[in-house]
Amino acid sequence: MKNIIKVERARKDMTQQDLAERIGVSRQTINSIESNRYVPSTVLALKISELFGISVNELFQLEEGD
Amino acid sequence: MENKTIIKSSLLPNEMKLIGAVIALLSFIGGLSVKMMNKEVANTELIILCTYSGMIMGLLFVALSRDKVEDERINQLRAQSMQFAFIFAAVSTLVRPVIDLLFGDPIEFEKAHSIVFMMLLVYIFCFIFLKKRA
Repeated sequence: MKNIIKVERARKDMTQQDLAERIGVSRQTINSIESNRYVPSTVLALKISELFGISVNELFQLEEGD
Repeated sequence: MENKTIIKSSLLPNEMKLIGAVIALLSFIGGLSVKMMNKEVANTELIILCTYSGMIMGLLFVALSRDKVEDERINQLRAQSMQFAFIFAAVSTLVRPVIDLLFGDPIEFEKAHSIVFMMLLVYIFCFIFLKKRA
């Protein structure tokens, strides 16, 4: 599953630490999500999408094989 | 809507990690020094038991201490590490007598203390490894 968190974060001029603090996780968790090593829970995905003001479907996309 | 599991709700404060590490280390050094200094100790079994108990208590504190930021990824890594430690201990318990048999050593049952100690050690190393990798 790929995502555009890095792009959205850059658009909002936020660091990984900023985003992590806003949604209550560690910076490493944001890094793992951005590099597709960790798939967040629905709750966390909703929190991120709400923060960026876009839908979860836009933020996360399924890849072939998912 | 936070996901509260048994693991997450029963964690100790972060400071207990250091305290646990010190207890485990002191128990190990204590047991080792008694063994090295006094070769003919009357109560060897008791010393081994005390050493193991101290190390298990220390490692348990380390294993059950909160991380600085305890989030869902850390929770998942804890679950994965516990899973691996459990399977490792079960396989090791099964394989050990076979190895003893192959090398002609006397077959011994694994003691509860050594199994628990091994599980905790594997859990902690696995958790650290997964955290560094992720």
